[in-house]
Formats: sequence, C-alpha cells, structure tokens
Amino acid sequence: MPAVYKKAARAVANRFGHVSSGFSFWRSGVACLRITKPFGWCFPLMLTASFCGAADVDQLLPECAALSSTKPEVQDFTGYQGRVLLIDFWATWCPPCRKSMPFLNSLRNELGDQGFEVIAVNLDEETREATRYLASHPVDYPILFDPRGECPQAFAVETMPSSYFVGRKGRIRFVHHGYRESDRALIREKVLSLLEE
Amino acid sequence: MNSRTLAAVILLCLVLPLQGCGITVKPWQRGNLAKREMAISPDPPLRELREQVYLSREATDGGKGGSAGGCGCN
Amino acid sequence: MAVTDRINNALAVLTSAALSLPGLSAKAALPASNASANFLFGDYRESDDRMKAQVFHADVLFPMRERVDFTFKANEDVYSGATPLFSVPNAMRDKPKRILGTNIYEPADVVVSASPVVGTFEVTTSMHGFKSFEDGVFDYILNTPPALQTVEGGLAAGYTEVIDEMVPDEGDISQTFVDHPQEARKEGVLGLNYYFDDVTLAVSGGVSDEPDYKSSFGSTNVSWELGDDLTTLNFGYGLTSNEISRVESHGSGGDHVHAGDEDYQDLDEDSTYHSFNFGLSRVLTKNTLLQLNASYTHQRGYLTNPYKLVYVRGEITPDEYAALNLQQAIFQDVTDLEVAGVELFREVRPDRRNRYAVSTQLRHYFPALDSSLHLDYRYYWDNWNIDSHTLETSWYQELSRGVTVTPYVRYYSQSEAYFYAPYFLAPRSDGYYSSDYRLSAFGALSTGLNLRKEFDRGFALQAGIDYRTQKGSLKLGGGGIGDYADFHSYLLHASLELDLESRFSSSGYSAAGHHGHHVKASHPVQPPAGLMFGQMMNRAGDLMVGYQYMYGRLDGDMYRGTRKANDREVIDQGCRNLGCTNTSRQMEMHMNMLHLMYAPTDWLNLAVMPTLINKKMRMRSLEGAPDNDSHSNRHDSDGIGDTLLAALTQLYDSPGHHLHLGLGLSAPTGSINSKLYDSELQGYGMQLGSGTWDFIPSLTYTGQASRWSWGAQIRGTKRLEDENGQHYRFGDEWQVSTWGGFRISPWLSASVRGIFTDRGEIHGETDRHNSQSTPVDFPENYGGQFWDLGLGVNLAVPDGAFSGHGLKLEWLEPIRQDNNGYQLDREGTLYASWSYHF
Repeated sequence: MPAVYKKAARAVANRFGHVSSGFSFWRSGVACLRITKPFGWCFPLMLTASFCGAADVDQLLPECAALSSTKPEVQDFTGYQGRVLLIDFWATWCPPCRKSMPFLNSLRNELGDQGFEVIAVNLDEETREATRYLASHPVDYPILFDPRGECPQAFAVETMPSSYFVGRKGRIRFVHHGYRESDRALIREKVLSLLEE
Repeated sequence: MNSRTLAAVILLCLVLPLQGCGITVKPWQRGNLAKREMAISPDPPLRELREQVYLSREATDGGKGGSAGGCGCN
Repeated sequence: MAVTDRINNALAVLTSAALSLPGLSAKAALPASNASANFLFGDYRESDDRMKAQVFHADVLFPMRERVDFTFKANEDVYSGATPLFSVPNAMRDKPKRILGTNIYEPADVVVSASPVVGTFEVTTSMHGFKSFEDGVFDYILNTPPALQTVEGGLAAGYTEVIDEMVPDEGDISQTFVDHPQEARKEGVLGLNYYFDDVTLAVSGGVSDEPDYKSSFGSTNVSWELGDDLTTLNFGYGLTSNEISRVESHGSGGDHVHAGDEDYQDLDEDSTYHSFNFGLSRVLTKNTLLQLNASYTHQRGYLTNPYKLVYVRGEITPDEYAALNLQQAIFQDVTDLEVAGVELFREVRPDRRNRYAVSTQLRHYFPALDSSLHLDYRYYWDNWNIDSHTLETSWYQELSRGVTVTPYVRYYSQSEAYFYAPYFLAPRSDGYYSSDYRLSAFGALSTGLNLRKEFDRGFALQAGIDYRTQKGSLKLGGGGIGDYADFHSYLLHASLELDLESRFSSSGYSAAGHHGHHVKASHPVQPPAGLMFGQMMNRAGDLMVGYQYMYGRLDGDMYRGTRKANDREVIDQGCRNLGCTNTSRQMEMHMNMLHLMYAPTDWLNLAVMPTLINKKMRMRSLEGAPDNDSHSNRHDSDGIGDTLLAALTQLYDSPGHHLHLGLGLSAPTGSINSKLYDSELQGYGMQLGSGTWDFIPSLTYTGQASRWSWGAQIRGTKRLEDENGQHYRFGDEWQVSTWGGFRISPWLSASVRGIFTDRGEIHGETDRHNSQSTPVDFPENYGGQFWDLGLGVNLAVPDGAFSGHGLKLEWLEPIRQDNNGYQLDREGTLYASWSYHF
C-alpha cells in the first residue's frame, strides 16, 4: 500500500482515538483502533471500545520495542520460529505474576529440549524494581524489559499476567489470562499439545 | 452559609474536578496504584486505633462499615 | 474495618484474573498473596490526669486455596483515669458548710454527688449543713439535736434558701471529675473473604467485652468490579447488639457508701444498631484513585451514658424536698429522672438515633517525588441535631532503604445535640438531658508523624506519635462551648508487620540476602511449651517472632502446707490475729507474651518479651466469720506485666546434645498498684509485676537420638533489690524441669515433663492502705514448694510455604503442693504458643 495512503489512514484514525502502536497494515490487514475520547463526562459515560484484533488467536505475533537484558532492540520474535513460545507479561507489583514464575521456570527447564521457551516481558515502569526482584528470585528464561508499555499495547494485553502461547509456525494459539495455582495443569497440557504438532 | 451547604460545596469541590479525565488506565499501568501507600487504608490497625480514639471523644460515627466493638468510652 | 479496607485495596487497585475459559477475560479481585500477621501497641494519655489507655492488637490473615481469606483479630484495651461527671457554674462551688459537731464552716460544693447513687436521706440532709439552711430553718446549738424553728414556709423555706444560693451565674463553668478504676476491654473478630469472579463477598463477626458493656456484631460486604476494572461498587450491612450495665462502684473513693439502691434497679439495658453503607471506587488515572461513600446507621435502645449526670434546676421543688425529708414521698413520686444528688440527676438521651455520613477519599501518587497524598473528607449529621466535618490528610513520603515517613493532619468540628447544655435552669418538656461534653459544640485538631521501615526479610517496623487537641474555640464558624472542657492528648504507637511465608519466598528459593541456599528445617529438638528459654537459634542473622498464652487456675479448698484447711482455721490463723472474713474461692490468670528474638551470632541469641496480664479473683465469705461490709466480690487486675530481656549463649552443641546458658533480666514494668474499686490495694498475688529488677539465670540441656528427645533445665529468679516501691519484695525462686519427648511424625511430637518449683516467701510488707480481711492480703501466705507433671504436644512445619512455624501446647497438672500459710488449691496451668523462625 502506498505510503501516502498509510499516512492518510493513520491521520483519520487518530482523529477518532488513539491508534495502538506497533500494528502493521501488512500483518493484520486492519487498522487497530481504540476509541478512547470521552462522551461527555468520562464517568459514568465513558466508553472504551476496542476493535483491536492485533494479538488474538491465530494472528501472527506483533512486533514491539523492548529491551533485552543484553541489548535494546525491536523484538519480532522471528528468531524463535520452529519453537513453542510462551510470552508472559508480568510485573513485580502483580502477586499472581510472581507466583507463576517458579512454575514457568521449572516447566521451561523440563521441556526446553523439546523446543519450548518462555520469554517474559517485564512491565515495571521502573526497571530497577524488576532487576532487584530478579536478583533474589532468579529465573533461567530470557527477560525483556518494556517500561514504556509498547509491547502490551501491541498485544492488546487485557489482564495481568497474560500469557500468549505461540505455536511452532509463529502464530498465537492460545491466550491465558491471570494465574492461579489451579491453572498449572492446563498450562502444561497446552504446551505439550503445541509441542506435539 | 450553614453546615450542610458547606459540606456540599466541599464534596463537590473535591469530586467534580476529577471527573473530566478521559484517560484510560491499561492493566499494565497499575503499578503505582498497587503500592501499599496508595491503598485506601495502608495501615488498618493504626487507622482503627485512631478511629477508636476519635469515636470515644467525638459524637460522629465512622463513615464506612465498622466493627462496632464495645465502647471503652466512659 | 480491616476487612473492608483490604477488599478496597485489592479490588480498586489490582487487575487480576481468575481463569475460566481460554481467551475469555474473566476478571476478579485477588486474595492476599501471603499469610501475614500484625502486632500493634498503643499508649494514649490525656492532659490533667484524665483518661489513659493502653491498646494491644494482633491480627492474622490466612489466604487459602486462592479464593478464600481467613482473618482473625484480637484487641485488648486497658484504661483508667478521670472523666467529667457533670458541669456547673463556678458560682455554685465553695459555699460555707458546717462540719457536724462543731462551729466551724468550711467551703463545700452545694452540688455534690456521692457514688454510688445516694438515697433520699443523703440527698435531703446533705443540704442541712449549709449556713443558709440553718439560718432559715434549724436552730443549731452545739451538741444538741437541731430543732425545727417555726419559720414562714417551714422546712421548704430552708431548702429554698439553699437552692437560691445555687442560682447559676452566667460566669465560668467547671466540671466535676470522677475517677474510674482500671478496666480492660477484650475483643475478638473473625472474618472471611470469598472471591468470585467479579464479586467479592466479605463476612465478619465478633464480640467485645468489658465490665459494663458487652457487644456482639457482624457485618457483610459485597464488592463488585465493573467494566474495565476501573470502577468498583461496594454494599455493606452491619448489625450490632449491645448489653449495657453499670459498675456500681465507679467513682467511689474513701469509705463504702451504702447506696439507696433500693430506690432504683440495677441497670440492665440493651441497644441495637443497623448500619448500611454504599461505596464507589474509581481509578481516575494511573496515579489517582477516588472513592465515595455514604452510610446510614439506625440506633435504637439504651443510648445514654450510664455514669454521666446533669444539673437540672426546678425538677424537684423545695416543697418536694421538704416532703422527701419528712418521708412523705419517695424519689419516684417527685421525678421521672434518677436522683444522684442535690439537683443532680442521671442523664437521659433519646432511644433512637439516625446517623448519616457521606465521605470521599482521594489517593494520588506523585512519581517525581515518590510520594502519595491522601485526602479524606466526611460530612456527618444525625437526628440529634449534631453535624460534623472531618478533614484528614496524610503525605506518605518514601525515602531510601525501605523507609517511609508520613505526616498526618486532621481537623474535626461538630455542633451540639439539641438536648445538650452544660447545666439546665429549668426542666425540659421532652425529658432529655445531657451535659456530656462529647455532645457539645467543639473542634479538634490532630497532627501525627509516623516512621516505617520495611526489611528485606519480610517484616516491617513502625512507630509514631499523634497529638490531639480538643477545644470549643476550634469549632468551625464559632459557637463552641467554653474552654473549661478543653483538653489534649498524646498517642504513641509501635507495630510489627510480619509476612508469615517470607522464609519460603514465592520463587521457591530461600529468602534473599545472606542465606543464599535452600533452607530445609533440620528437625531441631523442641522443648515443651511451658519451658522458658528452652530453645536457641544457631544461625547468625536469624529472627524469631512468637506469641505465648498462659492460663493458670486456682480453685476450691484452702490449703496450709500439704493439707486442707477448713474455714474455722482460716478465720483464726489466716489473717494473723485479725480474723479473716473472706477468702478467695477462685483465681484465674491469663498471660499473653510476645517473644522477639534475634541471633546476632551463631552462639548468641537476644530476646525481648513484653507481657499483657489479666488476673481475676472471686471471693467468698468464710463460714462463721463476722459479716463484712460490702467488699466488691470481684477482684480484677489488667495491664502490662514485667518485661523480660534475655541473652542465651550456646555452651556446647553437637548433633546429639546441646547446652546453653540463659541470662535474663526482668524489668519491673508491671504495676504493683492495682487497687480495688474502693481504692484499697489488692493482694500481692493480684499485682501485675514484682516491682523489682530480677535476675533470671538458667541452664538448659537438650538431647536427641532418632525419634527420642530429652532435656533438663534449672532456672532461678533472684530479686536484685531489697524492696520494691512499697517496701516489700517477692521471694526468690528456682525451678528444675526434666522432660522426655517422642516424635510421632515429621510434624508432630509429644512430651512428658516433671517440674519442681520452690518459691520463697514475701519479705516485708506493703506500706499502702490495703484490706486486711482475707489471706491474700498477708505476705506470709505466699510461696511454697510445688510439684507438677506436664503433658505436651508440639507441631512443627518442616517444609513448604509455612516452614519455620511451630505450635505448642502443654498442660501442667499439680501433683503436690506444700504452701506457706493459707493458699487456694492449684488446678493446673495451660501453655499454648506459636512461633515463627525466619
């Protein structure tokens, strides 16, 4: 699509609300639009509607900017093609996020040689809170730091924590919201089924 | 102005300006709200202790649902 | 209320999730993540020797199964001091009154109340000594009975003269105070939170008990998260049911007064409260939270203060006083109010009260400053015509290293109840009267400062001070009462917050810092619950927090030496030559002790153990004894006991054997001034402390082989001073214990223990005024030798989230006692304790 049309489309979209970053016309084929301007008073008449389909089941992974612990770069997760991925959005201030980490760590270590990897995207606004937490509660899987929240925006994350299960072909297969102890069996089962494909 | 009018004015002054927000808060932006100091009551035992002192020396009942234990009033 | 606040915190702030189906975003509030406990101590003191109170609080929160929280909270308040009884103009004080049998006049208040409430005789004749009464009515000649003069108006004229003298000036008003003996209020509350998907249900219930007020209460609260988790609605209902009585001897000083209680029945009333509240929380920005609340409470029943009095002129006329004096009428014939003195009556409040409040709370975080602002405003009004404004603000400033400093300011202003007046010049047609300054118009300003430090190991310490001043002149818009009712107060507080799962952090690794390796409990030997200084920690940096409850009971027959003594013998010999009239029939002691222990090195532990004690003794009269005058049958004392400081040093430690030395010091923080209502000192055994610094050395040996364990301890108590503040000291003590234990399972073990205690007699005698009519009042009836058998169980959590916690229970059964003098039979002692080693 010619650049000038892209620009015009974005301008029109911006008129009506915030356009989530990181979307790609090529990938999703549809503008991801969120209407956030208030209708009259924001409370209780606030209307927040999301027409985002950027990170739903069967979509390809969006790209977003996040810092890895070694270098800042835009992650497009293409390096993980052929492996089963669990992209986990977490923060230190979210207790279920903290509770899920030892379990994900042990699952990842157990199934790693079958091609399973966990990538955790930390969303603390102060990255040093996260590094301090990780110093005393280390995990073996890679952590990306996204204090500005660009990745969750691209993925349209709705809850904390959120886990995106990605199949070997790079498509999102399953989205898991939140974490309770009772979810462990389900998570394990889903990962195993994706590994078998 | 009488007491009630004053109360209404204060309440409106505190509440109204905060209505025109128009900002949405994303689930991952709730870190600051999760801080202990941002809770409605970060320290329930201390708040109860203070309320007990006030309850026994003033004529006003606590505004929020209370554990109405005893008097200790005298 | 703690439960509601925790819900508000969890719901209004955190977005969390309950998983239902893949892809569906079902959201809900979160239960608390870790089990935790809080301990708080508060000390409240008012100016001018008014009320003082000490408050002890502990609460615990247990999350279970991710959808449920259990909470339990316990409070004890110990309070005493003076409060205003009634107020009158100063002009009514200090009138000349004759000292009976003399020609000397001294100044006395015309309006005086004796307590308990006096009878007709006391009220009418208390006016007779005043000069104006005599001038008008009685011909007073020294040493002859007064003769009634014939005066116009007669007896009634005499009363008129006195009452006219009491015409209040519009001048200064002053309050008469009454002293309250020390009392304790105890409260326990249980709570449960259940987390559905968008809704949280909280239910709680509890009881509160003090000598004249018993309350049971329950409440339920539903929270509902809407939409994008930015808005939460709250609905709550609470029910409270109270039983009110009156402790008759409040305020009596000096001699017993035989009440005209035949005139009025003992107070036995109740009241019920229903309260409803509605709240709305809204997240406005990622740094701002706003909450609105409205509440309504309906109160019905006895809402009056049982002790306060009011001066009402004209309720009883001089003719009526004359009729009362001539016994032609009784109080009930002339007034519906309860008479408490000359022109003094018990207050009466309406039996219905509708109370309304609306409030708003704002919380805002400033990222640049790393601080939060709290701003709360509440407007209250009720159908007693009282309305009030409350404005509170705090600034939570986070500093480095987990320290937060929080200044606090509160302004309060209220108007007066429609039936309030400092005194009444004419009766009210509705019959409602109160001079309680708490229903008057005034303002109050409080300021406070708090310091809190959070430690990486999962606990936090906090301390702070609040100052409050209450003044008529602080009322918003003026019109408050005069400054005679002004006072101020200080509140000091300190607390410990403890994460009960900190030893096993959520990552499965051991707690941060110096541990660095996976912690596994090593099944250490656990001595029985009742043994003090029996256990040591052997790793530098370790901490232990614990709570121990002890219950001891004496009941039944009196013993001297090893044999029973009958009543006749107790009367003749138990009180020296004075002849006992009463003896104790039951005594209970409850002791709560908090253990705080720290290991600075591998071989040294330091500990501090403050205590809170309740003692109760019930008396009975001895058969064949002369009738005694009305001693209260109830002896209670409540308050802080002596505080123990200890250092434990390891002498020998190997896998099978361990030996350590304890050096303890008991600080005399416990009162030796506990008094009965009539201000006589209570017996030695009812005091809360020894009054002296005491040295407590101990030597403990423990051994272990596979499932068996055993040990022995010798411990002494040596008084370091010859006498305490009242010129006596308790005897020295020493105790020998030996025990054996068997581990039934990795968690559970049982023990059997033999204990011998030698308690020396009391040296010297108190120099304060105490009663001398029961054996407990005499020092020679203390001490002796005691043999006990202890049976105990220990529960220790070896691993998992709750590793480091232990619970112990032990019952001591008396086998033999050899008393000094006359003492009550010992029934046994129960020890129950919890400890957390992290």
